[in-house]
Amino acid sequence: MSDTSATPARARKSRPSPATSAQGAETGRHPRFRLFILDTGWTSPAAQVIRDNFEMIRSFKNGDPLYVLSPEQSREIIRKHPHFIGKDPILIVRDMHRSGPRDGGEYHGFHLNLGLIQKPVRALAALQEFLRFLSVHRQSANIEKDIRDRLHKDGFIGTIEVIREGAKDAMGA
Amino acid sequence: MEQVTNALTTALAAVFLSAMVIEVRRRQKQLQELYNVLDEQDKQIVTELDRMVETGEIEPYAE
Repeated sequence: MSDTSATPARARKSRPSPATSAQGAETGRHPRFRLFILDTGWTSPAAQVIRDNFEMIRSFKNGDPLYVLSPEQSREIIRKHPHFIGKDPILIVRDMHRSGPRDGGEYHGFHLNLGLIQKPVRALAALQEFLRFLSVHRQSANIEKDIRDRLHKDGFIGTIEVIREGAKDAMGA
Repeated sequence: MEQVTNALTTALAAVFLSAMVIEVRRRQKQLQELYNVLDEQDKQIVTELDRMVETGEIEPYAE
């Protein structure tokens, strides 16, 4: 484990921000998403990518509240859910426009388990793709369907993409 | 001899295609592990995160 308290992302306190927390009221809309970052503090290429590009994540969150858990808070959660060990940093996006447990529904959203990626270049590409997807599909009525459509591309196109990714791996990209 | 060659070619093609299908599925599974909609395990974490937001334990990152 590394102490991430010195990293740029951690150095700035995740202090209360009335402006941000009241964002919905100010802009006359409720935030579409809640974004969470869990980072227990592993010394990993993916964790470094998150820490180095934190400003970019902030830039592209489009006014949605971003919650950055401290390493201690992240570890506490992952201790309770050990199947997530090694998958962090994890970005979780909760869709606030879909019904939640209080409305008799369930949570909706998606995740990026960035810690599963070992190569920094791939981790950065995955992060960029994630933010691109979030920005492009933020008006979507059902973003989960968009994700499923994208992930479950079968057949010829899916095969071509897998071959293309394999070629990238072979080239070390 | 030609029949043997044809049979061998067919067998190799079948093996190659099977390997391709397995690899495609493996990579799709990897991709889904990396990037997917919230599953049951995620939802447990989100429940906890929501509770932390509601109780003020975590607050939005300052602009």
